[in-house]
Amino acid sequence: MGKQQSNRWLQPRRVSVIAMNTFTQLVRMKVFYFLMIFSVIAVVAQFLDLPQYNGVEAVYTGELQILKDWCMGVMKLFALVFAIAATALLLPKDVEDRTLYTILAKPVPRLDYLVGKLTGVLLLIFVSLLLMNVMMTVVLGYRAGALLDEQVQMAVSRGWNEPAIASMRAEIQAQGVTWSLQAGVFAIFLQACIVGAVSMLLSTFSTSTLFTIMVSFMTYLAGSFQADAAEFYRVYAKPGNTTLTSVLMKGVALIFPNYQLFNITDAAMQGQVIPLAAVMDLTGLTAFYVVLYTLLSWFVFSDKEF
Amino acid sequence: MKLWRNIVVVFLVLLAAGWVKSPWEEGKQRQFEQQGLVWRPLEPDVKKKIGQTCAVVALGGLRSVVASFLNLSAYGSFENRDWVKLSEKFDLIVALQPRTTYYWDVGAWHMAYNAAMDYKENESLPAARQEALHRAFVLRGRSFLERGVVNNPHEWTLLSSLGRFYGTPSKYPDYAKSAAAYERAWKTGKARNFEARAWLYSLARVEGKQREALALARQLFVRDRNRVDTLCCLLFVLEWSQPDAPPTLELLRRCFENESQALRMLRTYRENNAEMLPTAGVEHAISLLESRGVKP
Repeated sequence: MGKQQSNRWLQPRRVSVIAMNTFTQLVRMKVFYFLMIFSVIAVVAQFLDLPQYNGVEAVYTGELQILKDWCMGVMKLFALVFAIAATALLLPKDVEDRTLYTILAKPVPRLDYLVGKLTGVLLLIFVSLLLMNVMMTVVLGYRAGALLDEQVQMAVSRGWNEPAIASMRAEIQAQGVTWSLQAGVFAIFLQACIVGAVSMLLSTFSTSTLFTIMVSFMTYLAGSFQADAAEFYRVYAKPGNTTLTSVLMKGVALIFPNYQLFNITDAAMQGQVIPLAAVMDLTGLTAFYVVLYTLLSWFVFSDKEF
Repeated sequence: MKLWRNIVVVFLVLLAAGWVKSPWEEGKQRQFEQQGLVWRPLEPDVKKKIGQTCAVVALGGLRSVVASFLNLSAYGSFENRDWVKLSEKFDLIVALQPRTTYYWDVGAWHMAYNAAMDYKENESLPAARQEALHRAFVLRGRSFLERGVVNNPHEWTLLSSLGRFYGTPSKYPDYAKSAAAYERAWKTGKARNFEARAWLYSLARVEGKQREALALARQLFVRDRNRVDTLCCLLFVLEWSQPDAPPTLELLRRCFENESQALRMLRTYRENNAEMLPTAGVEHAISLLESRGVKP
């Protein structure tokens, strides 16, 4: 009975031990050095004060826009590269270090092993994004506050009325730290979860880390192009007009996840309000993909011989 | 053998899952596009122009980063006064980030003001060429901004900029379009009183629209905070131009706090009229006030 209990799939304690172990393993690979680069970018980006129309009646929020573009772009790049590279490295590294044999020799279901490994990577991405987000929020909040003070002072000196000042205030605040911006960062994390799960699935097939990384990038690009493929199929695949290209496009649309949906990050960066429903939709979609790819990884990994 | 079996099984499961999720995902794509949360995919010619590497990056969901890089690179073109390249770069930037009003505003400003003036003052060019290039870039900047407004119809800042572009006398003005742009900006409900006054200033310069301008001027004049020098003087001019206008002194009393203020404001209005606002009755009023011994 006790033995059956310990062999039960997805035992939280076992999964969390593997996850924390993976997290520690990755931290030892000095991943957090990347945060230093990020902080330099966040600090430098606020000095990129390019020429702009700055006439008597202008409300200028361009510097905030540039700051967000850079910070969020770097976050996305980090999350993407890390989700692919770290996940692709997991299995080969455990084989190389012979840790895998030790783990699998114990009553650890392979599903738990995979889920633990993926969770470890995603935890590291989450913590990194959280730290970067805090840095961005501090810098952006400071810059937005300074800009607001400066512009309000200017507006008052020029005799603007209260509604006009309120309008300007709202405009600057929309470009500062908002909940929508946080939703944008969360969308980056969700996308990284799917990318990581795809990479894990590929690594269960492959014997080469380089192959896994390359194919993972390809699938990422294909996923970013998925919506175009679906649109192409919708437009061209009329009855009697089905071509090989349209069938291929349909295949792409079916097999790959639609990463374009996660580009709500761009809208968030531009100060648009991101509805909670959109975030929930993306969370649901991410859960669907992560579960699907994890189960497929398990299917392949379960009868893999080492 | 087992590997191929696994690949086939995974492929089939992915296809089956695809059938399940595809309609939902396509629906969400359309919904997000309608809500303005995601944008239409890049046009093929844009992908071609930004180059393969950038297209891959942009396609990979990093459009804002590519736009940022291009914006920095456009700054280089600005420093080198390479205006053709600069406008090409801004065309790409806005193709990548059509909702960022900052790029539309700055791009149009570079074209219609910096580039146009640079050509106008470029003495190495023949005079006719200077003028032709100046005009070409003013029009380019203006049409660029108009595209920005089409992409962001509710952004009062862009509408206000468009009103300014059309209403600047040295930039081949079209006051009717300027007034229309300012009116739209004002009617978004987010703009400042400045946009309402600017709407009036443009409307007053449109041939045959003086009555509408007068009605607007009266409406704006009711609010104390709109009683800036230009508006008071313009109200006087528009009132004075009416066939059934009351005597000048009566009008001056209505439009200004006192005669001294009237003389001061009207003199400034006459001397600093770079905007080429109508001036009917201004000379007459100044002479009348001076003949009455009024001191500014």
